[in-house]
Amino acid sequence: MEVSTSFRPAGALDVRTALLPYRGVWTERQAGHLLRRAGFGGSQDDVARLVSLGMERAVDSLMDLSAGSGMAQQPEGTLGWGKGERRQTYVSMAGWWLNRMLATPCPLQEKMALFYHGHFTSAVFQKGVRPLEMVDQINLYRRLALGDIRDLTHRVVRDPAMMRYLDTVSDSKQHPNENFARELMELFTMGHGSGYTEEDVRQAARAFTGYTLRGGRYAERGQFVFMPRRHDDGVKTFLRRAGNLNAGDIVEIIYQQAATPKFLAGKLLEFFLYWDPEPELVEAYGRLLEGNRWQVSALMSTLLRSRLFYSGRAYRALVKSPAEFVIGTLQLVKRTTLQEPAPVVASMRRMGQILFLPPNVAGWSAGAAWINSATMLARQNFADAVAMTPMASDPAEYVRDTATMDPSKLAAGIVDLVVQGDVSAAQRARIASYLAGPQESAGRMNLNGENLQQRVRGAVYLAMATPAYQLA
Amino acid sequence: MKLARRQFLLGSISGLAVMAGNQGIFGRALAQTAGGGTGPRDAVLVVINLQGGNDGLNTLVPYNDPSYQQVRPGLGITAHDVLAIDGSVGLNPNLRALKTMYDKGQVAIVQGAGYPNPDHSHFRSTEIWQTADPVNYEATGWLGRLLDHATWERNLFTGVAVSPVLPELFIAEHHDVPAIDGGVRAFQLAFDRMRGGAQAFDGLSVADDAPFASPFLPTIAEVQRDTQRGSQELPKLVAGYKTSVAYPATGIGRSLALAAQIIGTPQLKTRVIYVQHGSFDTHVSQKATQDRLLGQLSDAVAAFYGDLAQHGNQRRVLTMTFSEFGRRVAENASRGTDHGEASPLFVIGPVKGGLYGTAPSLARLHEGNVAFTTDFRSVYATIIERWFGGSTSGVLAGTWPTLPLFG
Repeated sequence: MEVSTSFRPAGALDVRTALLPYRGVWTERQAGHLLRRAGFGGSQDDVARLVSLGMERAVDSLMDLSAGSGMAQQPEGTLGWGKGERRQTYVSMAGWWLNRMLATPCPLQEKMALFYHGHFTSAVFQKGVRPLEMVDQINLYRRLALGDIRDLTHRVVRDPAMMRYLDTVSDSKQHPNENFARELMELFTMGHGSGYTEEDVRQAARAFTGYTLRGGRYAERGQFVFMPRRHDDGVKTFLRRAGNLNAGDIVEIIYQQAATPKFLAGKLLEFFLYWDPEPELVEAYGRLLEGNRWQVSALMSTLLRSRLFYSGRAYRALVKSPAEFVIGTLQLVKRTTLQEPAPVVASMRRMGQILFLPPNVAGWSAGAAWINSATMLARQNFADAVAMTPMASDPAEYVRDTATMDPSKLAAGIVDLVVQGDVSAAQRARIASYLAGPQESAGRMNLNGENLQQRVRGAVYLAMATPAYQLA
Repeated sequence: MKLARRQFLLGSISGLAVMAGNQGIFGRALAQTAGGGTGPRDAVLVVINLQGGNDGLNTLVPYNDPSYQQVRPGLGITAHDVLAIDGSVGLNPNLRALKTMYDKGQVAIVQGAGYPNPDHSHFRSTEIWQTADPVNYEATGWLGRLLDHATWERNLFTGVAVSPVLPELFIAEHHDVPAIDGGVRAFQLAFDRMRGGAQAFDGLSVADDAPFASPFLPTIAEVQRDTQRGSQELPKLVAGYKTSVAYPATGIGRSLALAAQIIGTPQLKTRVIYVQHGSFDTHVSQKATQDRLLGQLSDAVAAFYGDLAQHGNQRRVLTMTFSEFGRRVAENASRGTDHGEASPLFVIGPVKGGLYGTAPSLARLHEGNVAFTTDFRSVYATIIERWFGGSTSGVLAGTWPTLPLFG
């Protein structure tokens, strides 16, 4: 096996042509790729619809977020945060979001919210973050999904869940808390080692004093309030700029740093394009973002129509996150609601992703970190539950031409459904051989009405168990 | 962003295939020095990560230092409450079970563990401790490199992470480490249980002749094969292990119970185990959180060594704690402490118990933090050379003085 030093795609990038519009073939493979990245994968019908639209209109339809507002704005139930209520609250919250991801007409909106959830990270129940504050934060990410990321950063400074999670709610001018100031630069905007100093962290922390919640930490559903008495209005020197700086000034100064557009573009590319994108590519998209008044829509519109996006470099070059894996699998078998989210939530936890509760302020590690023997078991067993259990959908609802009794044709159809045909000839033959059954040797069909459904379920599972299905 | 890198041996290291014989640095070193101041031939290391930055000052408490009570007016632990070790320091009162082990000479405490130019970021400092490189962005972890260089009999379970996500310290060039979370019963493929299920997988988890080129494809195929074979073997192998020790019903209790079960299953030949505990990130209302977490740690470690002793394994298992940093000396306004620098760590088991390194001075702080007095790489070097009888070459950059932890 060739030893690679990174998970960046092999070969050289031609950055001059990378951003140009794609003009190549437009089949299920390209449309499926687009829907996995700008959504969660969808059903075979969803992919077919994007094929019929053509690339430009397919991207237009995904970037139009106007139809998403009809979905539930918050979870059902009282959402208590007492020790005994948290489990029920959590399942209700997760069920709410998973159902939105599953059924939304605007999957890119949910995808952007998921991106921001792992970027401007907060976590429910941690540091006293209230469930509805976390809901409000995700709704903020939905509202500004493709909007101005600098504006979003200003709002994140005043976001109650964030203020609790990174401790600005409880600081004072005598004891400024550095947690938010540090992570704002390190994880949210500029990146570690990008030129700010420990002294900049301390100075910025002074500027964030007095930004708190009405009613303090004990507020039921916190609302931002500025308390001038608790604010340090002395002169601060931050990134070589001196003055009576407040939180808004800090954000504006950060967005004047050369590191910021690069860091943000790099994060977006790593989520939507491929791992470890080349510095020259990051720079080009950083310029695009900064040059379009920080509108994320400008970056995404260019990216989703670009030659590079539809090239072999980007194809199946990301590992599906647990949310993508779970939602994509349910969409594939045409599930549109999740009545009982608890088992799905438990599976996702074993896959390493608990929505509303990232492991730490850096969000999820993603990429190869999603893949180990524990998470792989959880993924395979989730696919098994969806494809194999009697509770799952009847395969006739999502597998075309189950009436054929030719195992090779049936295997080809299932492989197209599950992974757009992305298996080797040998893998395809293995699945056909499974469909034919152990007695089959000469290619003659051994299927009958009785075992057909169970065999088809098994073949769907096996297609989901191929390495390609783990990749977005 | 920083890359996580996993690479694999040519072919597969799945199942229980023996990969290496007795040749090479480790095999020779073990043969020559076993019994001569190093650990046993089948020595095991358990690493406990106290995640989030544990406040060292309230773990090993300088209770008799007047400046300690001054800087900790709300959080300070008094001479009355502390579990005194000597006239100047004592353990947090929640470490009662650990103190009992200390009194039996089973606990070494390395004071002021840290590294130069400390980083205050959880992620970077965790990475520094796990990669053992404070300067460069090293792609592999120190235990991953240990697995790469050791000539132990290796299989899929030579290193085991008891955690939902593989920690960076296990990232290796040539070795795959499973992360087992939620116990052995959760580590099984449902489809395998069907008639013909296990055979149906054969030939599916491969990267060969794929109609696309993904940088993640070989890794995923490899992990899928390992997962299938490993999950078939593990439950059968550990089923024979029984214990009468009652572990506390906590996360760290369950993790260490699984660790004892794995160690006590000889066919697995496991040498390195990672478990994690926390979060110790006590910016707000520190006392309640740290008290609870330290109490859980102490009780679980005591149960673990009870279990190991019941199976005759206590002499071959060394346990080490670490945390990415200690905390700021001065309290903040939220009854908590912010990110700091050095803190003590515990090395537990067949050690020469006592205090090691120099107690950090509260009179000579580094930007308001406890300054390090022992580089953590000295602790790693001590474990590699004096416990495993190996060489730090290829595992740690530079040379590090060892500590006399084993007499």
